[in-house]
Amino acid sequence: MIQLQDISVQDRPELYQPPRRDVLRLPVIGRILKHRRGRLVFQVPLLLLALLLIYDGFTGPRLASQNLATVSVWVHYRGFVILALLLFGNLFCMGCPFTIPRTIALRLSRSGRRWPRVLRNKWLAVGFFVGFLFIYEWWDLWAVPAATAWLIIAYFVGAFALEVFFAESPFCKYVCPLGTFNFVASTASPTQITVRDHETCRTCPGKECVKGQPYVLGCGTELFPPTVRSNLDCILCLDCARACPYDNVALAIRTPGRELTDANAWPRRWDVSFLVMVFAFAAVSNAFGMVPPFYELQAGLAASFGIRSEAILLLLIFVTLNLALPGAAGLLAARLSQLLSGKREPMRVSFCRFAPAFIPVAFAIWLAHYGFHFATGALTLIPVMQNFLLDHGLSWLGTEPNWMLGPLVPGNWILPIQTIIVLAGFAGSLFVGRRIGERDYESPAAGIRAMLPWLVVFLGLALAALAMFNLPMEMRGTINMGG
Amino acid sequence: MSIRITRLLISASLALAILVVLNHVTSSHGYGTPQRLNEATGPYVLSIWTDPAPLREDETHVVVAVIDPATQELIVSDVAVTVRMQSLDNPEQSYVQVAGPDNTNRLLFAAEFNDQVSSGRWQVGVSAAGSAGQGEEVTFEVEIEPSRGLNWLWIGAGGMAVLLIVWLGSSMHSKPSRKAGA
Repeated sequence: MIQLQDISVQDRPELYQPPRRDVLRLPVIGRILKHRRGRLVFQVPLLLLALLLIYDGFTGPRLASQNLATVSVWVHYRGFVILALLLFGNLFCMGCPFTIPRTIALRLSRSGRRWPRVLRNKWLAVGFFVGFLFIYEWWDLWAVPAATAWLIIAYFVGAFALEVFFAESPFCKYVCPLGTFNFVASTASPTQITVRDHETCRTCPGKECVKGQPYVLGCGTELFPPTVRSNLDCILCLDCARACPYDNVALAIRTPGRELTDANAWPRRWDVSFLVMVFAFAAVSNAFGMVPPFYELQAGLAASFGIRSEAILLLLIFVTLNLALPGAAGLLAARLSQLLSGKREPMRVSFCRFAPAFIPVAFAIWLAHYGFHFATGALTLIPVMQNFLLDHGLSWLGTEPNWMLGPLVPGNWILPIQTIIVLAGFAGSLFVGRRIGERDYESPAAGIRAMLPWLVVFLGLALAALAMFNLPMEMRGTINMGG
Repeated sequence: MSIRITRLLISASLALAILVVLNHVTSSHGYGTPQRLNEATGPYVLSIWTDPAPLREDETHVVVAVIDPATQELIVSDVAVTVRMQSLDNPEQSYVQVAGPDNTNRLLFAAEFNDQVSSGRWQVGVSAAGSAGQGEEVTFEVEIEPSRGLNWLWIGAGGMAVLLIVWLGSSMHSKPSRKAGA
């Protein structure tokens, strides 16, 4: 159980900025969000959808492009997630249906064990995130409806089991690959939890926002609102707002990505910075898995090393691209940054300094990639739903699925839009990097010199992404056939 | 200073966006335009897409799925898919290819006619033959446009070069924060 003495409001008023615009003060939306059962408004529909996807995954068409499980998860869910993160914030963690049984488990385990100290970092999250991408590719999750259904079940079981045994929310904070993705991406989002009056929190005796009240849980990931400077680890459950007896918690509208240039927002920790770099490199490698050179690389490796196992080949590629490469690039850039700027400091500090500048370009690459699948396949949901209903004797949406539906926008818009997105992300990384340089170095020249090695990495990521988007990309889950 | 730089970056991004929007250039993704879906022909069911949209002289791909009507499974072996393209403006101009595995989805067949076809209206014919038998040719018409003049990779790279120059120029004249050295 978290103790009162574990929590303190830093007596640094200069770090605090009262919110100018607060979503929780909006007339209708604010009331819904703060309502005791407000989260269920989002969770229950998604829970029902998850159950429907499990059902169709096991009993529906075996062709992925005709099954609700594969189409909804791999085309629509990913598209909506990235758009929600761009336009609002971590809405999908807020509405996560896996946490409904988790909430029951959490109540059961209030006196349970604390998550082991050795695992209280992002190393495990990095492992699960890369592991998830590996399994997605290895098991062809996008192509196998039943596998997608099993994945959803595994999520429910995993979230419930961990919350039963541990007193906090380790599943969200340290394990969930989707949550990890959302945490990192939400650092660029335009909303953030904060408080209206700093003094109220400083003098608050109960700290209910973290400890909870009899009718509502406190923050599952144990964030204390007045000290929140970043969206990292915030699942936007708003339990803090519901539990606060002073109605002092705010969901502030901020400049997107404001925290990226805030020296006090991110801990200078190896695990957090490495996670951000993995997030950036995985944006490229995940798209790489869908273009022809990936298959050529696989074939080349198989021929060169005589490896026949697809799992080993994929493991080799994924470990190299998602772990070894970001690690090596980060360490090399950090060392060169030290040498070029002449600043003597621990390697950890150099490694972490420019990590936030990865976010804009990485977010842009994910957006361009998932946006491509969404734009090319969003309307596929209509014939798939028509087919589902017809299979169950219902002709509410017509008597014949319209398999010609699929793209949301004309095909010749896609690549120009992707190019603009990647360029905007690259410009964002330059901007964040420059602000960090200005903040941490004595002269502009020193800041530029320090950033140059990182700039090469950003440039490489953006160019690699553009090169891939110019190649034929597999339209997973979007091509309809048969009937 | 930061406001000026922000304006510069926004201006550069806007200029690129305008450039992008003004040029209606195609993508070379595996973006498929459905031409014939679930067409029963002999012992097979064919679904056919063309890619990209619109088709151009330097990028004309025909993607074919061969489906077993009994099991609804894709057939990937023991079947040969032939794609024929004939110009309707000049009927003497005709090309025939045996489709190979698609680059991006190995369960599909694809034939590429890049730099072979000329702009204008064409008839495409697709047929499948294998141990199960021979299907009749499925035909449809497409419009092919002239080659695109721009390469988006180069446009993107050029955009990055512009951004870098703007960034370098503005950064050199920026002032360090009073808290520098943190």
